[in-house]
Amino acid sequence: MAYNILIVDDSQTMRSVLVKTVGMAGIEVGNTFEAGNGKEALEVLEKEWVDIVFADINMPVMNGIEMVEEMVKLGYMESTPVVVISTEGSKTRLDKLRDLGVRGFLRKPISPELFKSVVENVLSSVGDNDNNSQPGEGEGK
Amino acid sequence: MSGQNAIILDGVCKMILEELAFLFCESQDASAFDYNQIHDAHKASMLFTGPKNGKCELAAGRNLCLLLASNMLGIEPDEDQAQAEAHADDALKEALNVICGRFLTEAFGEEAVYSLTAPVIGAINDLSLVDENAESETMLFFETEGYCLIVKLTVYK
Repeated sequence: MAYNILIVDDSQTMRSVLVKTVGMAGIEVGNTFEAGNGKEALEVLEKEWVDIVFADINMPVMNGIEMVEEMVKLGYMESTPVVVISTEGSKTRLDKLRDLGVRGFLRKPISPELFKSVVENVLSSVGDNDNNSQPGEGEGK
Repeated sequence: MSGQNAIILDGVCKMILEELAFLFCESQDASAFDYNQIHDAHKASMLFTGPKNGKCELAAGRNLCLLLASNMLGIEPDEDQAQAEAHADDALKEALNVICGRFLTEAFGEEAVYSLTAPVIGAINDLSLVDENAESETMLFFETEGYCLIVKLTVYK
């Protein structure tokens, strides 16, 4: 199965690194979408089906926490898992994101091996959830 | 605290630059540092606010910025000069972002919550100025692949 991915990071370099890391991890990718902040990411989510979001926290305009809070309000979190990839090391902040429904956390710099492990876990947990969900999900929003 | 910060920052810089860009850094004495190597340097800086407020800065010459970008992207700088050029400043900013984030956790613990500004590129000429509002200032010098690198941490009163 090919996954549509959305990479949200204000660093163009980091977005390019993540695109490469996804390929190295052997994850089959359909469409790759990129956003420079949370606001741009929400605009992508409004228009496109996305299977998994990789998001930084520290971004201008709308940061990663604000983006996740908006995704909760808009009901995206149940169908679209979010993996936070950031420099964040604060347990308090990570706990808050976990409570909001973020499924995975990776700390920069990331290794392809750890990336693969976390993403496979997240995608398999979504697959488990999908078995209990309504048919037709994944075809658009 | 300044001495402790220097030790932590030194270790964090070496670890991050190795993991992020395969750059192995060696510490240098300030007195032995060749400032001519950084006459064309670019400087990334960012502020942090939380239990302590301060600023992190990272300065490197153009060639080291190109190498940093190339290594992060996994490209050969000679083969894809245009791409390395396009990412040079952004790579410096991202390296600083990762160093600063990791330093704050290592220095102040996982319970502390910090907000970081997005890194910006600026001139290097104010790097050596003493900040009157500083509680402590730490400047570290490194050498990697024949290039020089400066990291500065300012903690405000």
